[in-house]
Amino acid sequence: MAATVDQQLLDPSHLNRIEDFSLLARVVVDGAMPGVHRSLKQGRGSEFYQYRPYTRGEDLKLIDWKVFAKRDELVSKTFQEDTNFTVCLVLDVSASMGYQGNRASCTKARYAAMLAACFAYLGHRQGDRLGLFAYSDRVKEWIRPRAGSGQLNKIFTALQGLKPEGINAHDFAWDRMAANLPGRTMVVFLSDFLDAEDTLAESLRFSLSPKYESLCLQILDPDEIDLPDNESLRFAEMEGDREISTSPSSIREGYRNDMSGFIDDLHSKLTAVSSEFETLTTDKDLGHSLRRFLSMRNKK
Amino acid sequence: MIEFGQPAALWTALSIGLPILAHMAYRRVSEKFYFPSLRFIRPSQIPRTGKRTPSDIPLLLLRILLFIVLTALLADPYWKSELNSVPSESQEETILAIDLSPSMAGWNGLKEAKEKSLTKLDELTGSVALLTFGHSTTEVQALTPNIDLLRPKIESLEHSWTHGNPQLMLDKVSKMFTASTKHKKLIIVSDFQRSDWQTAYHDMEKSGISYEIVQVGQKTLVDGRRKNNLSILEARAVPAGPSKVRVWTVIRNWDDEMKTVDVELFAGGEVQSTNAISLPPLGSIQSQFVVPEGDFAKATVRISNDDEFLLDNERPLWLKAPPARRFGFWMSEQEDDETDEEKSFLKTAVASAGDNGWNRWVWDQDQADGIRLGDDQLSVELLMVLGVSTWFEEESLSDPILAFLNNGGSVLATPGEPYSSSVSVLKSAGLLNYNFIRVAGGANQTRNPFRVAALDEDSQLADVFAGKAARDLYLSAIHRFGIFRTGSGAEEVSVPLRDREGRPLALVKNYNAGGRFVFLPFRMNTGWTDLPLRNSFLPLLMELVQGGKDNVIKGWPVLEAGEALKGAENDFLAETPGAYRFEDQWVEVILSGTEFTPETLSISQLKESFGNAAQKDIAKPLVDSEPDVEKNPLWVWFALLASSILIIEMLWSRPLSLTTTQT
Repeated sequence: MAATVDQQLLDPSHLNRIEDFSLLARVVVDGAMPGVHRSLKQGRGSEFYQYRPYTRGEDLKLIDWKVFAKRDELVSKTFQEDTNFTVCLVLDVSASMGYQGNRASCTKARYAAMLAACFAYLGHRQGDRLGLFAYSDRVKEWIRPRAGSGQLNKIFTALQGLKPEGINAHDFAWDRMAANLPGRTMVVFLSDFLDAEDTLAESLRFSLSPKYESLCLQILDPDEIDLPDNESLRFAEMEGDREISTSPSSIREGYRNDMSGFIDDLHSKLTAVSSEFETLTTDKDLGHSLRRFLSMRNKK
Repeated sequence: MIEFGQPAALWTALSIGLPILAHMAYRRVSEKFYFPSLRFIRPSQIPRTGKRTPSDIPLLLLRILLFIVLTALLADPYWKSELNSVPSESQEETILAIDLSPSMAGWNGLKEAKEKSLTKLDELTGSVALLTFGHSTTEVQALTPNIDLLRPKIESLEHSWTHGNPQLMLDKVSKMFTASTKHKKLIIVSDFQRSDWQTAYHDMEKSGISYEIVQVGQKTLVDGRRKNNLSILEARAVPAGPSKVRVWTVIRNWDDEMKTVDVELFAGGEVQSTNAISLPPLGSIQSQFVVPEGDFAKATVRISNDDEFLLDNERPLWLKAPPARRFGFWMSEQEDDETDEEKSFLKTAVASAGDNGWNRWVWDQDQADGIRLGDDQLSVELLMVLGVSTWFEEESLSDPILAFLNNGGSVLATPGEPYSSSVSVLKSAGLLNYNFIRVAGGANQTRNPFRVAALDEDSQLADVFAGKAARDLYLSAIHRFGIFRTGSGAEEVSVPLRDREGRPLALVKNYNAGGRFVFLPFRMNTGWTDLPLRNSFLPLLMELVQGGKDNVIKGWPVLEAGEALKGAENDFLAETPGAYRFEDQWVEVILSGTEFTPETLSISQLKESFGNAAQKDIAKPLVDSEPDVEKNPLWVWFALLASSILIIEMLWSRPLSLTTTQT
């Protein structure tokens, strides 16, 4: 029964109903996947963690004298230790990310935002510095990496306000983001990577450096895998003005092959620059993505 | 079987239909479906029903059927059927129409018509019908191949007395032919007198009828006019002094040369008087006879000339005077001087209101008393109720007087003593709803009487009283009169006469059948007014009680042959000229004046009346090739079928619902 509940908590159709990303991330991480992250290191950090009884031998600087004055009890403050590791979430919020087919319960942009919220929460729980970069044809959000719960809330708020619109301009955005990356950074890309197979690998060459890691999560709608189940359609491009009238049933086979070839090509090119790549569809639960993220994060 | 009126449309429809079919087959999907990327999407043919389903073939067949029906609709389909009616014995039908209007009796018209008709019968083949027409149209003989049946019927024809109306004949003829007949022919035998034929019209070509004109009675024709005819246009008997009657007549000369003729008054079996008159060319002359009144009841004016048209040479008329108009009085049984004086003034005035002729007023107190006793069959036109008072109510005279008014009679009422009781009696009788206030004037007003105010410009009295007559009326002195206050229903009452302070001096109430109730608020004697002594009294009195109605001189009804007179029980139908007694009336029946005229229409004018088609041209049958085939248009059915199929096709192939997401 517990497993069923957990599974439901990862289902995007259920999670889509939770508007508050803070709550959503807690539901997913604390509710559905308890214990998946490492415990925090306590030490000399900048962020207060908890009070505990003073034990002999500890540095006197840790004693909270105000508490002693009130309660006549020696209590020492503990701080969360900074990991000196940065997680930078890169979100594509161009118009194509707004697509939602019949089989999906949310748009691709919403799915990506839900994942980003969960990643941010996980990172925060492990003391990482968090950053957010959202773009389409311009930079829509750029929250420079920083640690702390205030940063986490800032990211949640920013995710809440993102609307998919405009055409994507991967090159311009990635170059700008890469130029501002600090050391020891894991960059998580959330995009559909449409038309990006040529430039993406080049832009992610920084992953070859041991200081950096990149995880590319390609978010696609099930319709993009094998076309909608309509008899005839007049397709119009979401990020352009092209139109094509066709019968999906008659072109489905060719389309699948082309799309599969595109994904394979993307995978091989990214692997060549030491980047992790995963294709997700918006009807899949979030669990697999989270585990993949954690496994990469915990290698460090 | 189905045939097409426009077979070329089949090819045209095919050339239009193929592109339409192609368009239908490769129709674009109109609704946009927004998709992230079209990179791997290729265009393809779009089937209208999308994927292949078992409905494809029936749908295709339905569309083919729709196209076939539309094509057939454009080609004007009709159902051609062989007429299954009983085949006509012949393919030629002829209707012989002979004019029997009174004008045919002149200029040898009818005799000539019979001769020519009998001759024409020898030339005819197929079926022939005989039709006569005057004021009405009579089918003497229906279509028959036995032509000899018509001969005795033609020989026995007589002219009618009613004026001709050939339009009825022309309207009827086209319905008499058998529909399947190849040749329809109408032969019209007539004098084509202008007054009868000038408004007749029928398009023979449109009806598919050939016609032949046989004009008769034209032997004296010069420039469209037939010669040698004199007519008595008018004859009337009028009083001519004591015990004498003047017979007044008008004779017309239709020729353009001088004529001399004797006009005779024939009465009592012999000629009573003869006037020799000379008639100018195309002119009229009056001739008069004076005969003692009462010697003869009726007479005939005739002209001794044997001209070409004899029917207008005699004119019967009554020499009897029409009945005089009657009047009478109602008053209290207890006579008084005031009422006697009033009665005397009024009787003298009304009796002299007529003229010395037959427009007379006669005092008939017996008739008035009969009405007072409840006899509503009596004829009195004017009833004068003097000194209305309690006696009126005691005798329950309100019902008889209302019945009298509702039958169109006129009533003049004057007040009695006491004045207030007069008003209340009239009010309770439903005659006038006015309240009495007081009697103005009296002895102190003798030197300063009330005067009649200036008449309204639009009042009927203003037309009568103009100039000196008005001055006489305005100088009339009224010493006393009753003043009223208006009650409810006063809007039905008009006030034609007022004093100078605007108070009513006469109240008039009209009834639907022409009845008229007049109440004078003063007595018609010298104690109340000097009006009876004035010249304006008589016209004022008659204008008030008659209201301008029925001022024409009474005479006997004069009817044209063919007209009818409504009677109490039966109607009188005027058939032949003469003087007739009908119920209590004396009726004169005369020949219609339109039959006197000698003008006739020419052949070219007649052709215009028949749609301007030449006589011989339209002898060709209009449906020469297939005269026995009936064509019933089918386009309505095809249109309905096409609409139905189109609706089914649209429902069947309607686009399936799509879900489109656009951000």
